[in-house]
Amino acid sequence: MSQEIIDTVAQYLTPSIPIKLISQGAEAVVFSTAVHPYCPMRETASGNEPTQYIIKYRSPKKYRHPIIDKQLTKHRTLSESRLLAKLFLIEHLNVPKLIATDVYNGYIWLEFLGEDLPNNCGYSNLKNFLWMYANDPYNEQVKNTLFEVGKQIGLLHWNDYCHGDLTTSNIVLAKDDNGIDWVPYLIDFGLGSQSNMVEDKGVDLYVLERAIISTHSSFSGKYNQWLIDGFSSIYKAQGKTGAKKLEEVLKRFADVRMRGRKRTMVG
Amino acid sequence: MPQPFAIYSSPDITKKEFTVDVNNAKYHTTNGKTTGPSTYVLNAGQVDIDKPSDPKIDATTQQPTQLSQLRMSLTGLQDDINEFLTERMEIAKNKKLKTQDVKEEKRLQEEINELLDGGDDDDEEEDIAAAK
Amino acid sequence: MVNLNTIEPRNGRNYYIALGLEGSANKLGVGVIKHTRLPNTASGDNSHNCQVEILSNIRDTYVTPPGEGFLPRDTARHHRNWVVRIIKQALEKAKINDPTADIDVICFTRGPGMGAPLHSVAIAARTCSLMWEVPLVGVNHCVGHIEMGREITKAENHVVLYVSGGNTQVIAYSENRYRIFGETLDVAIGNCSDRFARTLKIPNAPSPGYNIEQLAKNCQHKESLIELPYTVKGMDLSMSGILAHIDSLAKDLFKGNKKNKILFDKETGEQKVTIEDLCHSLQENLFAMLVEITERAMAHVNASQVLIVGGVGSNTRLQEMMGQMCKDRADGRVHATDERFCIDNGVMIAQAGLLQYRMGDYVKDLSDTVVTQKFRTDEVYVSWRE
Repeated sequence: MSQEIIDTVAQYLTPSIPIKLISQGAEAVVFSTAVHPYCPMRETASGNEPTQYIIKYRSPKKYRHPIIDKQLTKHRTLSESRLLAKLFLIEHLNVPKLIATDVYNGYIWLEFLGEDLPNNCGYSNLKNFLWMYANDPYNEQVKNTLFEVGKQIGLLHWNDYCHGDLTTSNIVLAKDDNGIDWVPYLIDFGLGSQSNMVEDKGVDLYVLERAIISTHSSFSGKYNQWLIDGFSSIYKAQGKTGAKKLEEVLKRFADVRMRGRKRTMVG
Repeated sequence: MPQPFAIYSSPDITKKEFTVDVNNAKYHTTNGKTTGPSTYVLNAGQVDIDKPSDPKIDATTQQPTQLSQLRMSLTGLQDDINEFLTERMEIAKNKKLKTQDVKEEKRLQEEINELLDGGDDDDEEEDIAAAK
Repeated sequence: MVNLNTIEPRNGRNYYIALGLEGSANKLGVGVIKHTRLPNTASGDNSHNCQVEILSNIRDTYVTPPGEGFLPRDTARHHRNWVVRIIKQALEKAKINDPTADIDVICFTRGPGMGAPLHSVAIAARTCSLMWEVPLVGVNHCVGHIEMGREITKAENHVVLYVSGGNTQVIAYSENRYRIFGETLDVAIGNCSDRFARTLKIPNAPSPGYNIEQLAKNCQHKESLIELPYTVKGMDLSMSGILAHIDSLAKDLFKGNKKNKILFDKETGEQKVTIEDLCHSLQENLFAMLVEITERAMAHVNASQVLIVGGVGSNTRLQEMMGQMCKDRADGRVHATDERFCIDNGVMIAQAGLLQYRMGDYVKDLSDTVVTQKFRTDEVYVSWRE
């Protein structure tokens, strides 16, 4: 991780906003901070630790042409902020709360979600969660969690939004109020869009299926089935129209998958 | 030296055998009639640098070597086979076109008949749904 | 447990010799390689460390006139008419005098690729196998590229970017398969530049992509850029829209269509954009997309390095951009090979085929040597890795 990026962010935020580096994704660098941009610092119920927030920074990519870089940063930061604001209003759909955004500089301020998994299994995204259960892959909790993840995607699609980059790293798990069950949140909407096209939805499902196959190959069959079960339950709850739309999406999903497998590849 | 031959069999025709006629010049060249560059690339200005090599002449007998003989016989045989297969493809293509025409006509006729019978079922269903 | 010494070298030798035949597209390649039978390959994950020796690597490319692509029929004819001469050259250079005694295995490309060219080379492979009584191994072309890249660069913990005339894929190894993370949804990157080169009517020799790279290098306005669609779709990308866009710009440029305000000044009608500018913008745009999806895959599997394989991998601008990304990301590295290995060749087929042969997996029945145009990278069971 390059120190240069950290320095840039620290300078932008000024010393009065201390930050801690959390992760470097492909697109953005993620920091945590206890400072809220316009509310006073809050103590958590349990005591000492103040509430944390996320600062997501799309750093300039030196490898690409500055014109492309500027456009992408602005476009994606703006579109992610807009989407988060809209998605937050959808009942039962879990996305992080948007706090502030600076589209020209590529900053988004968000609610902090998730935690560190036990036994050094890393941050609680779906990918690490599944790896944590590698020795007990068909545990009831895995099944329930994947079903819930499927439901979240179902809700997103049912409301005619698409994620555009649905991988297991972009699904975060946070403990329920009871402290036992995991509640999935969808994050990283930089490539997301409002869309009622079955094609976009089919591609979303295909991308997630492939992400699971590539990192959790041995158990992917069941995992993907549980996801689809959860996904379908949302549509099925919407009566006849739901069932009909579900059929369309799943059919396109199968088509997209076949297209991938059958693509001619000339040396 | 025994000559190479080829047999083609298919359920719809009697066996077809291809043999070498040693007196025909086409079995004595490495440049086949059907195995040259396609006319399309020649028209685009292609210079053919991928010709098959000429037959190798044995220094003592002053005749093509055995392998070169075989290569030339095969070139002629390949021409015969290619011509035969192209012809068969044409026949198959024409047949397919014909059946397609027949099918298309049948479909059209059916559609016309349906229209003459008046309204189709889908519409009726929708009407009922709308009335509800 | 991976034991690459499962099969003894023939004739009591302490080394293996493999002949590789490649002809899936417009390049006909024949190569001969040698693996010494080492104790460390009997166990452990050492398939990228076979200390390969390249005894010969001969290639002949079927070149078409400017503005024309290569047709399957004529490409197959090229391969048919040259394959014997090229094999002879390769054997001579490798000092193989008695193939029956000196060669352990003949490896050929089973796919993916164009049917007719694949077929003509497979026939040559079968003939040699029967004539010399040497076993055969059919190789997946993409896996050939990957194995050659690994052996040459010794890259570990890497993501593979495979970019060529017919393929654009981001691949990572996991549980005995090279799994595809992202790929093009329509045309391949090399195909995209080949087709643009045809519109520009620039020569196809040594390769259309190389000539576009040179034009892009000569661009005088590198600070500016012509706006093109940027079409990354999650882990995948799409390029047909970009090609159509830049193609129409080039056509307007040739026609002198003054109505096009991107190309001509709206007041004076003066030409603002050159062919070089178009090539530069196209490269910058496409490569930025490639690097982005590669970085996504790296983040997903926690890899720090990238191995670039395939013909487009020899593009220095792509290597530079990828290198910059890797450096900014966890001080990683980019591994690439030069044109001897990244452009289609016989050696890479020999390398992947010999690994498979050494695991005891070779053709038992000639009916298993039928070539296939569609052969996904992840269909191959990679027995030679842990």
